[in-house]
Amino acid sequence: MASWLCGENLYQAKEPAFSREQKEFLTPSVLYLPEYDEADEPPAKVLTADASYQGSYEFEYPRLSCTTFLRYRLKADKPKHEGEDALSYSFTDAPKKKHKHEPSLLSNRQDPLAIDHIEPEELLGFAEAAQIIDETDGKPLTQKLEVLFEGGFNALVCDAIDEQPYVSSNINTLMHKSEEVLGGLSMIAKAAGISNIFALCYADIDDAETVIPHKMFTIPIKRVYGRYPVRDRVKKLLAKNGRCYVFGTQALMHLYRAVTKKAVHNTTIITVAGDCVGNPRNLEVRVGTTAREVLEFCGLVKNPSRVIMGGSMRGAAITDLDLPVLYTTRAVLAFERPIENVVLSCISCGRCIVDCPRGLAPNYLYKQFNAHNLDALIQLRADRCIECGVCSYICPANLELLHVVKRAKTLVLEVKAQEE
Amino acid sequence: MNLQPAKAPHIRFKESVHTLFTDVIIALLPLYAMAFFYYGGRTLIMALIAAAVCYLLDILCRKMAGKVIKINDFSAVITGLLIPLMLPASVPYYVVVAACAFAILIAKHPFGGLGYNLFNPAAAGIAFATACWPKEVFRYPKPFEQIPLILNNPVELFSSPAAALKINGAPSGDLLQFFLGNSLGPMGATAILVILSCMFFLIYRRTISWHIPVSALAAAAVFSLLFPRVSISLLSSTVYELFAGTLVFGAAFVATDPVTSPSFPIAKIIYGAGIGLLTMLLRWFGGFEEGFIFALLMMNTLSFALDRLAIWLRFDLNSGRVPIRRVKAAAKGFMARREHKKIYIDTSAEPVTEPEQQQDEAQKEEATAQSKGGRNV
Amino acid sequence: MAKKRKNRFLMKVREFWSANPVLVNGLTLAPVAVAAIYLKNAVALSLTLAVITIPTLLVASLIRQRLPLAHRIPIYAVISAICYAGATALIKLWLPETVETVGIYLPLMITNTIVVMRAEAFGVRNKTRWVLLDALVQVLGYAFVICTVGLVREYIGNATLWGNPVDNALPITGIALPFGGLILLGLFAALYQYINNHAAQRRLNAHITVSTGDDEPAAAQTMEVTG
Repeated sequence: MASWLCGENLYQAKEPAFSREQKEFLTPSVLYLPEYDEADEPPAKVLTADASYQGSYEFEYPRLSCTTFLRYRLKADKPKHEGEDALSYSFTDAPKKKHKHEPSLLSNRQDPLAIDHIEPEELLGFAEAAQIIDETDGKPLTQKLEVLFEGGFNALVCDAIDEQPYVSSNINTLMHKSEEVLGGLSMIAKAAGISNIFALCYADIDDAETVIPHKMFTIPIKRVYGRYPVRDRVKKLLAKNGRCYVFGTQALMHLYRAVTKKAVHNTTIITVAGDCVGNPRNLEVRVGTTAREVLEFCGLVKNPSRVIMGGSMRGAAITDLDLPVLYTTRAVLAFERPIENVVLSCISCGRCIVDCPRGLAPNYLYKQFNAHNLDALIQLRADRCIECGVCSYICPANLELLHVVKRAKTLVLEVKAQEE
Repeated sequence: MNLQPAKAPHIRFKESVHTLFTDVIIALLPLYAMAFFYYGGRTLIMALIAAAVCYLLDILCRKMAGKVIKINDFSAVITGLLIPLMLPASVPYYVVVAACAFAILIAKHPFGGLGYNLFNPAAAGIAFATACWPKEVFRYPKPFEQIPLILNNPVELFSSPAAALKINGAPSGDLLQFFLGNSLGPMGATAILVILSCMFFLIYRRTISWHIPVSALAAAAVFSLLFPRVSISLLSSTVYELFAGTLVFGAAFVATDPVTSPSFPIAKIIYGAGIGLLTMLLRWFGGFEEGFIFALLMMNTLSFALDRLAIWLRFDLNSGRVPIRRVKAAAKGFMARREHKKIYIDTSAEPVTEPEQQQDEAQKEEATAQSKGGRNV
Repeated sequence: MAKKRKNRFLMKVREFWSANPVLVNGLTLAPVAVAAIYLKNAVALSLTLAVITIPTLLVASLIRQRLPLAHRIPIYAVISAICYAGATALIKLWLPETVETVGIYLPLMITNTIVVMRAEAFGVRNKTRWVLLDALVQVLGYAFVICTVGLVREYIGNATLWGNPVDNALPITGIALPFGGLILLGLFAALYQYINNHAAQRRLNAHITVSTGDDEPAAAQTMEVTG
């Protein structure tokens, strides 16, 4: 079955957040801090920390698991004197711990695009000192750069694909902070000695009001068209360029900032959208800001019944608004109307089979899972699922196919791990 | 602010099962209009009776089974609307009622109700009517004759073109009239043009998929091209075969019932081909002049087996989707051997066999999987 | 001792309903579904079954385990065939018009499954009087089912009763065909299950209401053994 027939054309309701300028919201009143080793001292330049809270959150959906995340819950202090800016909690000093790469290489470089060569060790030093985490897969940038510098790659790609509806954080960053993003990309390219660099974006957006340019700062921006999910099409496009290594947009931006301004990675750019939000836009927030503050900043005009952290197809709905925005969060969406809970019986229409990009049969997986038939789940290859959500999207009987297939997938992966 | 937990994905397609059913009902209305045009108001009364009987019996059965009663569940109404369209307009009302009762009470609910039935209820009802009252079901009134609402006086009935074909004669009437519906036959199955346009409407709306009607008609056409029953020109014979009887109507509306037909596209194609082939065989060797309904019931039993076949083809025969490259390379090798030429098959055409390139591909996949993998919320 | 025998007798008689050969065990379905289209046919078939099964089961209880299994089965077949000669004479005497319509199903009764199953499950292990009772009960159970089915099919399908025409406005001829017979049998079995469940539910309810009443010792009420 041709890959252009799988998946669904989703209405990418990305406006108005897609074309608007980004704003910054760097002063929340409650902030969650990332965890650090007990042997280290607490980070410097932090105002009154309310050390009474020492627990860790358990989330309902393991995707948002934050057990590595919370030690202190910080509250804003009242300013001691008039006029003093009391709300500043950025760690401009790096925490005192042993680095693998020398941190003294943090030098002041103003225009990385102008330099001819940069040493890989310098970049690694910057990446480690700034503690940059790539937002697409949650890996530290140091780890990714080490793999890259081992060699063998032909192209570097900046991943600005936002294929889920309502989410536009990466492409918006690429368009409005292009200097920083592409500067970071070209720095890495110069360090690794790769000349083939480009950015990748999803251009099948019906309601886009601005045109994505084809080139920015002499770096081409290649487009991916087609139905959601675009994974197979991206693989085909990347395969034409040899071995490619992909970085997230925001990681590149933070690398540039680390090199030029000595800034540590503690912010992330998210899309705040949905029909309940008064001013939908892309927002740069500190990592650890609660969803409540983010929504209050953008304004809620209607009472939402669902708030989602993550994309509209793959994200998780939260019931507690005091959950923090993490490094890998892409969006905070607020919708007014709930999804009907009416679940009818499967009529075997077969649309999930036609749309599944991996060729699975979600209706049979659903029936066999409910019948507790593990052999059938293994035969139906539940481990091939990429959890895109198209089956649940298209099901006319409103079955919870994605949920069931995910659980079937974990079961089958357990069995396969045991076999090995 | 009352936040509710919800499961991903958080946007859903607008269509639901109810819109699917209403689409089918909308597609059946032009056929009833044509039937009214040709045969008068009796057709509408039959439709109303059938729909009401089916709907009420469905609610009764749900109550007996202890299920929740949904008043906007129109699946039984679709069964009720399909049954009169496969019967002649002059059939007595008790035949319609008996067919509907059989369809709902015996073919649908004892097997589990909506979503679990093995046999198509409309097809089972028509088969029952055919077995019990073959004379009433296979003799048709002429179009444009007013049939009285209550049959006090006998109506002149004729045998259909399908009967003519059974005895190897050519049906009377030219092909254009056949196409438009001005011929003898079941109420809704004569107006081929309207049936085809309603079918295209349903395919466009994605209510049914094109695999079953196309493969059923193609299989029947191929069979009748190879073995014509009429000794006029080959093409006319095929067209007569296709247009006579309930084949086109059944392939478009009855065989495409989602519950009883397989779910995989390849299984649907085999299912449709089986229906076409069996219909023609039953027309040749069966006792009645029209065999579509029994062919459909026979293929219904194979739906799940065909789905299992499709699963085997998809998952066990090869890993993932059909490996076009491997098939092409194998075909190239085969052709080369046939032509007795010394062609060394270029192994780069089969990247999976070379270990280095395989490793490259695996790493490339890993690299892209890192960026597009499951962490991307 | 007498009470135990009486209990056993009553339990056996109960098997008419609780272990009905057609509705519970599904034995010898073919004549019920295909041949029992008139009440006369049904009576003929049940008579044939009686004449064939009872002597054969008697012989089975006399042979017991003295012969191995592979020798017992052909003996049953031979005895059944001999009895069939007598049965066919009886049928030709009393109900001659059924012979053509029943056709092959009359001699097929020689190989009916009831006789072999009951002989092996019960006949070779028990005393003769109980085996005879069992045979009688099975035959009566079968006769009950097949005559009911034949009656319904004749009335609905043919608008006659015992050959005499009866005023039935809507004859449905499909019920006389094999598919109608099988469907009718299925519905009959469903009705049987419904009656059983309903009766069991009532028994359960009766016990519950009684034992939650005054302070009667609940142990005094014993649960009836459901057959």
